[in-house]
Amino acid sequence: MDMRKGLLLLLLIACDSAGASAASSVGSFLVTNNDVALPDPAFSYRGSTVSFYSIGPTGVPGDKIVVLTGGDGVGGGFFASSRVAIVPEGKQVCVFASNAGTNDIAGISAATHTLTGNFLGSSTDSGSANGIGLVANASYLYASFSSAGTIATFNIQSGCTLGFVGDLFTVGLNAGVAGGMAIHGPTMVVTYGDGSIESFNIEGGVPVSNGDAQKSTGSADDHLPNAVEITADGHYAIFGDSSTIATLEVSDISSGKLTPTVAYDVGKGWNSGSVQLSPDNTLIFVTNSSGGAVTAVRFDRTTGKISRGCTSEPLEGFYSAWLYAGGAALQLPTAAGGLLYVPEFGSSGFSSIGIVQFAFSETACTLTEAANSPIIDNSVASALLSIAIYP
Amino acid sequence: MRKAYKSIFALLMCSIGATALAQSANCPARPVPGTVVNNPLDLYSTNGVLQAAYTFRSELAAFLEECYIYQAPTGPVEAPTLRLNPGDRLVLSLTNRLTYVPPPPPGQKPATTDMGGMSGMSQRAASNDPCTGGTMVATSTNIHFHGLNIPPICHQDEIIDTDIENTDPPFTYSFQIPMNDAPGLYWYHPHLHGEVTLQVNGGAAGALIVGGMEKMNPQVGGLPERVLIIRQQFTNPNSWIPGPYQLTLNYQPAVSPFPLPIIQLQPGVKEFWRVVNASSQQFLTLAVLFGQTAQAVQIIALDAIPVTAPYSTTSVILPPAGRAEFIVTGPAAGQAAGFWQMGFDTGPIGNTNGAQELAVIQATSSAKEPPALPMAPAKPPPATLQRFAGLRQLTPTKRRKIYFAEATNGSNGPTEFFITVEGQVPKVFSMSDPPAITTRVGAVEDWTVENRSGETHAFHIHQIHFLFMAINGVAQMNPQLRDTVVVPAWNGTGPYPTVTLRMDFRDPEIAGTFVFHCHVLDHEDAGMMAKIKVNPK
Repeated sequence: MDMRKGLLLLLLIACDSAGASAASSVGSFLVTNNDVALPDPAFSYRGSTVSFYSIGPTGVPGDKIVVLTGGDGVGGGFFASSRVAIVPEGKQVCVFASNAGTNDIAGISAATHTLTGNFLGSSTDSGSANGIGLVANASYLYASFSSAGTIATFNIQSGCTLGFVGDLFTVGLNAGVAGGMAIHGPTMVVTYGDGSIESFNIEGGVPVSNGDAQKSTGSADDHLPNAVEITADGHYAIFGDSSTIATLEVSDISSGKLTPTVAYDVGKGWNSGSVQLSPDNTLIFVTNSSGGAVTAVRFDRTTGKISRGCTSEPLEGFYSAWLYAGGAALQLPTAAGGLLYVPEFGSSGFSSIGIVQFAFSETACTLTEAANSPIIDNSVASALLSIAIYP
Repeated sequence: MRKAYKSIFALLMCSIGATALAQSANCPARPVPGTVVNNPLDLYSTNGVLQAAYTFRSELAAFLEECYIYQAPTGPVEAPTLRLNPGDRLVLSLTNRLTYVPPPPPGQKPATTDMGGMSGMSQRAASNDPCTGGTMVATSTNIHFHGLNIPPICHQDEIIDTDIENTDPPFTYSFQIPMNDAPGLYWYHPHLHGEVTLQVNGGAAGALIVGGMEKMNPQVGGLPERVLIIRQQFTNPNSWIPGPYQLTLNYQPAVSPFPLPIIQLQPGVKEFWRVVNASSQQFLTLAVLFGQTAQAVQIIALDAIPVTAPYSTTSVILPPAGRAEFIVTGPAAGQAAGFWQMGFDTGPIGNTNGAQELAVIQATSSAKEPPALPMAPAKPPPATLQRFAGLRQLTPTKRRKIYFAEATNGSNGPTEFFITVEGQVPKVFSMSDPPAITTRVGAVEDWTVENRSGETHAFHIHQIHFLFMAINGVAQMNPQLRDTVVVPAWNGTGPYPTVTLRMDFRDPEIAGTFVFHCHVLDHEDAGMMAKIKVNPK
């Protein structure tokens, strides 16, 4: 099937329906930031790309459309930085993808798969060392530039465009730069990868420190917060640590500020490069970025306590076809979230997407790789660490 | 000559897009690329004593140079070979005048605490004694005498509390080569935690040879002796991120765009080669090729200890800090030949370690051979009991498991590096850490060293050699004494790779606190190190 024609047809149908929602106009999709640093002349793409995959009822990524981002990537960097963000904007769905090689952010319409522009922060904003992380709410998109140590704020404007608002230079207590970012309401929580964390107030758009920069509890044992998520009710911030023991930390942020974290050893996983709360906030999925596996743990959303679950075997191709697991995403916006998609950072310029099935009961927990996993695309060069799912 | 040499370098660097940097005349001129490789200057002991004085300076030229300067009668010389005999005393005065401080990362001010070598500020204790430690900074230093089995005491071979700053008066190392130490190839280099990569890649490394090999292995008697030191140098000297780097051979770059070094020898001659891998992170598979064919060399000693029986091989694997001493037979006149690094697989996430030619071997009747070893004595000397004798037959008093592990924030790092005794919490090493292991003089322990990371590591322990007993649980047919050993990378599935090492703590001289670590130096600098305390009996 010609996917482009199919989507255009879908778009026309959607536009015909008065008051149609953004969701109905684009359907479910998975998007990857391929983060291409040196485009292979053997391919037709001259620059970095994103790949849109349709997701059908089975959850298996299907037809694919590749869109040039109008810039260059850097081929890797921080695990906890999401290089792609999906933002509903009016009746549109916008995809923003960072180009750390050219220090800009590409805007892309999910409906038309067209580039809406490349948007720059300040003249000093650079992400060439370890990428540009993105996080967004309905009004603002925030970009952490790993070389500059800045978090740039952009207005999200009509037509999936961005307007630069301002920069905040911020580094951790041990000089680390922002890696993980999460936002909820007026609060942004940042990890610096050096053992320290900090929260910001973003009510006015540009982040303002809450003055709570602190070393995490786990950092005393060299467990360094890397990834971060905030619960749906904004009560807790959950951190995935860079460490040789799978470690999560939880901070009560109900006051609007970080409180000292409680650290949890959650099993045999290795290096928690991403944390993903299930939509019902009863589970946390942890990507073991240096162990090639995925860990699931139970989360008590009332008390903020974590109890152990299970860890998968290393996913197929670990340390051969691919080297690191990036930030995972869940298939569904409800309940436990369905399938888990894991970006697999390729060892030879091509990456894959692992698909993990999950089963959890009072007595058992299993994480197994789906039969049709991984999805391998050797037609597009990629250094995949970030994916996002819509809706 | 130095100016001409620097100009050539500057032109070459400009031609490959590098920035020409300010020069000063601190370090002796290094050899012109593409010239004949000569042995380093030899300094011999006389009447049982070798007395020498070094000044340690840095210079930001085309490459970062951190140089041990010896003032020879003919002028300044860099990192001579120290030659002593068992029982001799080395008295080495070191005046530290390092000035180079790496710039901080973009957007950051220079750190005021030890942040991986970003600071140039001393924070030594009020006593102002180089033997009492201090904050390890880029302009401080000390020396480790790698492989020597001597006491971990300040002014001998101690690196935990020895901190010589660049304003200190000359600091004197003074120790005796143990009578029962093996003849062979040792080496010396700075070991200031956090700054080792910087200083060693700057060129601060030299050979130390304990004489008498011909007495234990008569086949090397009378052979021309070639000392080859393989180092690395940063190609971007002023980068805040260590690397990239390139290999050098006796200070000549061994990579394009430079012409290769030339090892010139007489056609068909037998030579005794003594090779130090003084690189900060390169695993080497060395070979002598005639055309495309690897030639057999005869291994005489590894890590300064004569092998139990010399053997032939076509490749010699050396981890960073490893040494090999072997007999090479030269090619025929005009025959194409080269000294090669054949490449080494450092694992899924290891550094690239590809094949490259290190030097052209040129056989010509006009070649000047290096000085020969003494002839072997006509009558073997009475056997003396060597250190570590009988170790294989002993029953270990204790077994331990130790593992290498890494945790990283991203595909480019930053990475935490750990070496951990099983049962303890992995911890990035700090100089103030208590010993991870405490044992006692007299102990003989079997250590299983496991690699839980996707890149190769090089296990090294100070003060002693160990018997390399097994790899992945499979016993070595002919275990050798080593001081540095390859621990293979984990490939993502199955058991973690291991090596089994028999540690010999019987000698009372080594009582004290010292370290074991990965000898990939940026791993060590970043925390892959731990202390061991050996209590007196």
